[in-house]
Amino acid sequence: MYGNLIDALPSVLSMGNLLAVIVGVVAGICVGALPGLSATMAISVLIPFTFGMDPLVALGMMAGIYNGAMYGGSIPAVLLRIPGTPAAVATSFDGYPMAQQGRGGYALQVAVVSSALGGIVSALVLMLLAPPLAKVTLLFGPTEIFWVAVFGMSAIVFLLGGDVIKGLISAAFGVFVSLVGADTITGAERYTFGHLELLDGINIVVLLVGLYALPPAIGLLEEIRDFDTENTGRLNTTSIWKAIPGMLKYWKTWVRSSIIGVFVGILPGAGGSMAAFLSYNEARRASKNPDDWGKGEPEGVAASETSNNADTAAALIPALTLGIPGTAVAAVMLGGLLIHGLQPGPMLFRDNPEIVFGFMWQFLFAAILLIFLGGALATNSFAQVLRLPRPLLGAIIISLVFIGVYSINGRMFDVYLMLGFGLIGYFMDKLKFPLPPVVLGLILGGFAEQNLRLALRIGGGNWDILASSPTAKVLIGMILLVILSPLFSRLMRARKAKRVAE
Amino acid sequence: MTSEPTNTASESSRGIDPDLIAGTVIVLGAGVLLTRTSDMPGMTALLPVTMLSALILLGVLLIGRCVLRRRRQTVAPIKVFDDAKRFFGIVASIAIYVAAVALLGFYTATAVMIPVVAWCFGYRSLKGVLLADLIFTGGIAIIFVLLMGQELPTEFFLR
Repeated sequence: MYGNLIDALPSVLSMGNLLAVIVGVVAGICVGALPGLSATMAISVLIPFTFGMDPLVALGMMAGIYNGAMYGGSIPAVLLRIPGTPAAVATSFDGYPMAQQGRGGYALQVAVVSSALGGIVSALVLMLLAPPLAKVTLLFGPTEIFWVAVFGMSAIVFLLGGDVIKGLISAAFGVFVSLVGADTITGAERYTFGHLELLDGINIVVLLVGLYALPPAIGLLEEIRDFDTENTGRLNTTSIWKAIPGMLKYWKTWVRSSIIGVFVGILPGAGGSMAAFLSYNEARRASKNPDDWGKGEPEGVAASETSNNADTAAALIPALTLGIPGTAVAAVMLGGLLIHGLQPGPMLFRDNPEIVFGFMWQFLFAAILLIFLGGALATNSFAQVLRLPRPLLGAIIISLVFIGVYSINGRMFDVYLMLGFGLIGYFMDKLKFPLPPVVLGLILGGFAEQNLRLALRIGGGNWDILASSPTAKVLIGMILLVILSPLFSRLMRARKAKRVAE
Repeated sequence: MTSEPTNTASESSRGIDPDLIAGTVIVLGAGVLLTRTSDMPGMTALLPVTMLSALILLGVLLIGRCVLRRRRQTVAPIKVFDDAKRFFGIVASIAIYVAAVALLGFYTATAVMIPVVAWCFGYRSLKGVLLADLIFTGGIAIIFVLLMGQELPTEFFLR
């Protein structure tokens, strides 16, 4: 089972693939360091540029960006108390007070070492868990695959938290977008409005770039404020190798936060920010001096950064094995796999083992690279990213977005479509409609439909076939659990609050 | 639990709740699209009908919730724009850029768009803007024309 893992190593160690990971990590740190930009946005912009690349080079860049951005988010969180990514909010609780005390450099070093450790654990868990899970899912038939797709969509809507009605609207919209084009079975056209360009459906990259890359570019141009980057010039950083021995006392926090991060990562719908908050609270609870937390306790930075990086590769476990991305970044990465003709799911492990296992190694290397690229000199350099003028950056991203989408098929139609999705994404974001369910709906909608129709054909049109196998019944039970559990926990909370009030 | 209406809630409730607009757009849009399923074969129409019906139902729920919220005045509606003029300016800039790419060609339109947009939206360093423009547009030209041989919309003077 793990033989393929070893076989994939030589190709990952080639110069081109290693360079792709290095470039990805550096780019990821820069993007993560810029408030308003995220790993999701960076990968969305990158995907169209990877068309002509070897799949492993493209995936190496994505792995690097993901890991780099999760650490990069801590730079403005520590220096400005503005998290570069949502997952870095908890890092600012103690990181910023440390920067105010003149220990910003040390806070960033704790962040980079903790991020690297979290990333390493996450990559190892991905390597260990994904292959057996993929083997189990190979036994699934069309009925089970249909329910797995429904489970994925329910999980991201109901476990993501927030507004369930808006989450469901997002998911339904995503599924609807997946239906545009010619029906693969009957050949009938659906919502093409006479446009030949829509016959093959809507390219996932067009949707991803529109939803995730254009709104942040508009956001950069909308913001009038400039950041006070005075702190970024004086970090008082020493060599990271001299600093590491002093950090070894945080080992318990590293272990605890890694476990939390990995667990949250595997859960569809949960993300790095949830992992970071949970870890921070747990580490604080276990601390001997909880009153010092929030006033510049390095262990708080360690807890948050370990878990938000431990979430990265773990989030790909359901994505690679079942085709269910648990987070927005994982969904975008699935889009990256799809454009290289790699269908996520159990067949990926059987048909393209060198790519899927190579991708896992790249996650591991990206995490290790963080320590080297986030050293003293680099930390000072990356902090300077915050000085980049935001209107200029916004204009450049608009141009990059154009190039990326136009390059897919060399036609303006895709650009117009992307602009439409960009505006929809902007308003969805402003009105707090979650975006990950849209992407998941687009990925899983067509997949679910195909398998539903195949199952019905096997069952001679009898709908009972959908609940005939024990696995299907278990999956239906899990879906019901996912849907009802938030309702149940809300009822419990209300009852508890009532009891306390009495 | 009903709370006393806050000042913000009562002030904001005078405007139209953006969720109400979103709900109405969803119901109308999904309703129009639903009428197009009538000429589709049965199984082809199955998922579109399900999804669009779900969207209509959810849109109605969203509208209903807005109406209740407005009646109770408990939660202030979401504020969409910090500066509406600036937002529409950005959208117009993007639209003009896309049109210019189609008319003038990619490199010409980009070389003009980057400094103009950066300047108009607050970056007022002429040297910085021009240098960034040269590096970005030149860099893209080197990558796409020389290294990748990838064609972007042709310049008007080369057609």
